[in-house]
Amino acid sequence: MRETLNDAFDAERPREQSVWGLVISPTVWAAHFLFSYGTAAVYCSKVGGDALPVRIAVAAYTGAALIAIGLTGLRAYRTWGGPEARIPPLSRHTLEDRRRFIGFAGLLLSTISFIATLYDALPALIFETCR
Amino acid sequence: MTLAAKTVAEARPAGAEQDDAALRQAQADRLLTAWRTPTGWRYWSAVNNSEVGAWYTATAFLFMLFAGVLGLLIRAQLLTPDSDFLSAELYNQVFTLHGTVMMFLFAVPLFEAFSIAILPEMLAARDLPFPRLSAFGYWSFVIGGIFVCGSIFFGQAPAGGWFMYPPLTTDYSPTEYGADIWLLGLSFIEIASIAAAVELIVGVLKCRPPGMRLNLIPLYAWYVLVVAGMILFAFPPLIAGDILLEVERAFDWPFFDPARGGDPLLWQHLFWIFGHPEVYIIFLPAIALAAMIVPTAAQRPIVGYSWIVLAAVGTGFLSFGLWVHHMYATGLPGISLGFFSAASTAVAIPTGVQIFAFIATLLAGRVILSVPMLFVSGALAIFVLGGLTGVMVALAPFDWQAHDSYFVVAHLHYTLLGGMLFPVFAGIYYYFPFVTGKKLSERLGRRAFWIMFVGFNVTYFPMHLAGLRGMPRRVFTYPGDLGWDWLNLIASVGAFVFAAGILIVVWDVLRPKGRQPWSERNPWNAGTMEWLQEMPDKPWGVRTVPLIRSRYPLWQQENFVRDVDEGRFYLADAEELKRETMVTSVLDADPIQCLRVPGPTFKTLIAAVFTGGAFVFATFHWYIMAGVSGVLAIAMILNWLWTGTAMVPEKPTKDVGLGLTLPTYGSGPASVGWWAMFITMLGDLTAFGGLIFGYVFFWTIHPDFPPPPYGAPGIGWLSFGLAALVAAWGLTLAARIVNGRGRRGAMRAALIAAAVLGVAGGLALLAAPWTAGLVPTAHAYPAIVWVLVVWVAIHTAVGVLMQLYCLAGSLAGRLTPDYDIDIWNVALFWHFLLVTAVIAYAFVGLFPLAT
Amino acid sequence: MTAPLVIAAALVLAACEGPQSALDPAGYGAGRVADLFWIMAAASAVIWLLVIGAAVYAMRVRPGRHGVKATRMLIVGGGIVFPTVALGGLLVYGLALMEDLRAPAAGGLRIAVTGEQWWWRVRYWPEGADRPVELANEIRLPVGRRVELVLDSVDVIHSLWIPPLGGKVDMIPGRVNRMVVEPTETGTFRGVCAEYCGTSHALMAFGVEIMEPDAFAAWLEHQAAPAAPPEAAPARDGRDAFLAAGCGACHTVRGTPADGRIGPDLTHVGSRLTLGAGILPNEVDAFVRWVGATEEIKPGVHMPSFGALGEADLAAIAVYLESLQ
Repeated sequence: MRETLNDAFDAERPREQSVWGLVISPTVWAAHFLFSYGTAAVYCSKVGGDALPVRIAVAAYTGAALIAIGLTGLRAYRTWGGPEARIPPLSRHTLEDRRRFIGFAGLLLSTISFIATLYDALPALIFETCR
Repeated sequence: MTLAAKTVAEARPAGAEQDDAALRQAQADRLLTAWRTPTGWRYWSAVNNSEVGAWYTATAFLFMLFAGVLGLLIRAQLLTPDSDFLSAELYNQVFTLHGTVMMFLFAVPLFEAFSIAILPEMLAARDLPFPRLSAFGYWSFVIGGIFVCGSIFFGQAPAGGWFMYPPLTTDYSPTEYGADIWLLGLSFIEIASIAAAVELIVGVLKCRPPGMRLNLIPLYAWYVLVVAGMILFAFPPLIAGDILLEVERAFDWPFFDPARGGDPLLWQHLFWIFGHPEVYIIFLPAIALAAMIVPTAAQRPIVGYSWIVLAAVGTGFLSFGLWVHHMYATGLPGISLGFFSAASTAVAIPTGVQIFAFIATLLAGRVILSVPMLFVSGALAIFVLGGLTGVMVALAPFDWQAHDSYFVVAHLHYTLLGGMLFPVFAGIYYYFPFVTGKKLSERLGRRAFWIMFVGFNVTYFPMHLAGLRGMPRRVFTYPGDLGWDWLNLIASVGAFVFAAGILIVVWDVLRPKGRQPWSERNPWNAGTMEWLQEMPDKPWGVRTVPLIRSRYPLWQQENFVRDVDEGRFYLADAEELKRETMVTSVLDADPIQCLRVPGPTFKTLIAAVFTGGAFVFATFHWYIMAGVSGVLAIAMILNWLWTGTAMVPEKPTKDVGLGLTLPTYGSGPASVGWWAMFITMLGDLTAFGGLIFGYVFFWTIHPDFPPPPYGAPGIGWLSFGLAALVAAWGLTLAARIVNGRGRRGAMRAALIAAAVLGVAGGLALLAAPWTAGLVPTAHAYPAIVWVLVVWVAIHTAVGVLMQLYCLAGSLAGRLTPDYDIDIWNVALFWHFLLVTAVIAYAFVGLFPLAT
Repeated sequence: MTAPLVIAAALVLAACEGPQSALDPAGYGAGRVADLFWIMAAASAVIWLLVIGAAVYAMRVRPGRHGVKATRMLIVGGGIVFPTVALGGLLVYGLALMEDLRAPAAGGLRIAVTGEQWWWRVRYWPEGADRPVELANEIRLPVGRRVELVLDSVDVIHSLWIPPLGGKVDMIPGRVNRMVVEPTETGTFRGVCAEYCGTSHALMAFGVEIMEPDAFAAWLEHQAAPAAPPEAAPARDGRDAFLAAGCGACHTVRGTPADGRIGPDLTHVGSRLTLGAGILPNEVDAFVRWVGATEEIKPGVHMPSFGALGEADLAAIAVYLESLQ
């Protein structure tokens, strides 16, 4: 896209940052959710009975999702710079602060996505059958 | 850094060159001429966001009052047990229409209306990027809304509940149109809603003032972005469901008929995949108003800006994982229900975060309890209660008792009125001077608030108890010996009190204000840019597009208002007397283009009338007239596109001030039109996804698939069709590339060949189920196969029409190697069509071979 | 100090009583859910007071600038930490409770209920029986035993809900759903349809009687038997009028030629708790009104009104039906 071609000429701007980066973690949550529910729905309607294969699958999805969200969150944390990197409000217009904002917002979204993924994995722990 | 970004980074407000008062006056006069609101009967041809936004808001309110009266009828009927105030048939139409109108004709349109009215000014844009599209959306809304609301005066309102579950709603009767009015009338409006969503996404991402980086945009804009994105992905599954239900009613294709392989649960899935995000689509924009009012009331910037961004985006995403919590009682496996219970519980976290951010802001500031803030406080009190009962019903065991009882009625009204209606009334009091230049009455506002607040709680709190005492919902009467009488009596009295409070506000809005002086400028002493507006306002939106260095420029940037008034920033003039606004980059609002937007026209109204005609005639099965109306609509839209979009500018670049020169034209990803096409096609692909969901759903419920005696449609015809479409896509892409290199002849030849192959491909896809003898009325499987194939065929026809449009444009000289927006957008359409065709081929042709 | 609390508790209890009340449990499921509700309601009240209290404090009690750092702690603590822990715990409890409430019945008695617009076809399958015992618009159960109800529908989606016993389950055409109930107290209750199913959805209810196991067994045995022939004259005339009017085309009265399957089984209709699917008392007058003016009582009903039969016949039929104990 021409947009990012412009960005590429910017010596100050790190190449990887884009607004889509913010939504990586929630998208991973969404994929985890769809795969978990889809697996359970299809397995329970086609096979039914004991749900152990579903539970194993969900465990695998959860592991993968938590790792992906964790790594994304970690990268976001580094971009943010940590709580010590706070700058006073009136200086919010610099490129640096925009960068840190994307990092902080990304970190928050990764946190909520992490929590939501953990919640979504709980049914696989508790339910044993397709009843 | 780009030249534009560098120029902006070093820019300062204009100095001596803007000191001449005569120059400034001449500039202002030219701007006023360019942005002049038409007068007389031509007033209705306006497309500027201020006019369209005002009409849209007023119309949505009228629909709310209509639905509110229906609500009062409900409470009048339920005032006493065994009442015969309304017959059962009429009551069932009344409660269906009450919910339908509130959800589809008030709650979502009001968000769009408000945003159209205030977002551009909030972002110092002169207008939205596609003003005619908003106008078209408005007129479609009016026509569709009158059609739906008018039905009850003929006793033909839908009577299936606002979510219209089949099989109750599939029984087709040639003289009962209620369900068809619901399906077709609302589909028409939903398409207009998606158009508004596209416009708002592009507006927030691409039409900001220079320097307004993503971390500086007003919180309202963040919410608009999230909600518009949600609309894009939530409405299409409903449209897919509407198509299936209407086709079953009109043509007897058995998607939801278990006797012929269908399943009523498919509708519930498609409806609630829309329905749950829908309530967050309703809630988030209203809370966005609170996010603008709270900092103003606290006289300090919001505390926890990033947290609120988290809340908005997080809630937006999570809300898509809740839908089966409306289906807890349908007998699905516990483990499946469990996932939705988990997500329904999780969503309370981001929802709560924004509440706490508001409270934190109130604590950190010195609060002025103005009428808007009073309504926001009431909203908080009511919404938090609704959210807490929401956590209760998120747990399936409790929901198994509360579902379909008055407990849920109580919960939904607490969250919807607390989360949307009260903030909207706060917004009315807050933004009334912005829209009209005059303030509403403090005294009346406070009185109205307390009457509404008390009336609301008296109405809905008892319903929690009535529901848990066993009162189901949607009942036209109830027995007198179950202890519900006094609860219903109190609730009904409360409803009339609540209505009285609303009437006070209606009076306050409508009362003549001729003698009342104009409001002072920025009456609330707010910090965001919509309050640059003069009282009464000028039609130009903003005097000059400013340079932004903070979130609250009116508070934090020195001499900001004076510099804007004196035209010391960008686009301070309209030398060519054209309507101009800035297009900027997504992350940092670096200027990209000076965009010329169109002015008043009646074409949008006419196009809406013909489009509406197609839907309305189809409702009554007058298919020939519907077809004629549809063709006229297409012709009108083509005319509108030809005469008003992708115009070749009279000069390739323009000096926009402060040493910055911008192109006046951009194609491909640099063009807002390309973005609009991209976003629209995402929605379109999602609707197709809804139909594919139907196909996969049928696979899960039939042990043998394709169900015997049916087989797969002919792979031969399907493969030929796909190949032809791939070739057509390739040729369209090639046409764009060779045109860009100056080879017009080759481009035209490629387009002709592409069109021929497109037609061939579409016909071949239709031939596949035809030659395989799949009869759609016999079973859900052939029906869904036909729907998928017809979807691709219709889209192919649209794609071919687009190719021919580009061909005509090239021949007429308005599509040239340098000015090629249209072929870029058409190529983009064909990318999505290719994806659609491949997916259709994979499921319809290949999947049965695997199972 | 204790007196107001006792009065308040008594008021609350009185406000929650009722034969159709989920807060007056007579079943295991309803009991567990009611307990959960009271805990959640109390917690919700506390949270609401704290949150709104903070807002009121900020606006009225101590308006004035508090430290931003402290307020950010409120967002983190109140918005993320506390909810995550509290909701997580609640979720685990709720998921486990789902499994508990749906744990299957031990077997033996099975009851099939079919929803039709706007009545309930009920068939009992006693253990080892090869034919069901059919009745309508009433369910009786033995106390202290978990029983399975098998639910379906012939027309639109209905939902079976007996709030004092437990949660509801939908009856969906084309699907068979299972519901378990475990009554824990004897008594008379009322169930309803809880999914909007058309014009007279509000008038689709049924009687529920929870009995001691012996009484239940006796009742079921009696329901299985055909109708005893009427002895007294009015009832005999009524039976003749009933058959002459063609009621047997839609209704079954075992022991007579009437064997229609379209409408409810009337073999022991006189012994039921209610008439018309939970909307009329079981009395002779109610029978007269129901048969004579069916469509006025239940708008849209599929049974035609038989007012044309005339007062005498209607009265006789009413006496006959009421005698079918």
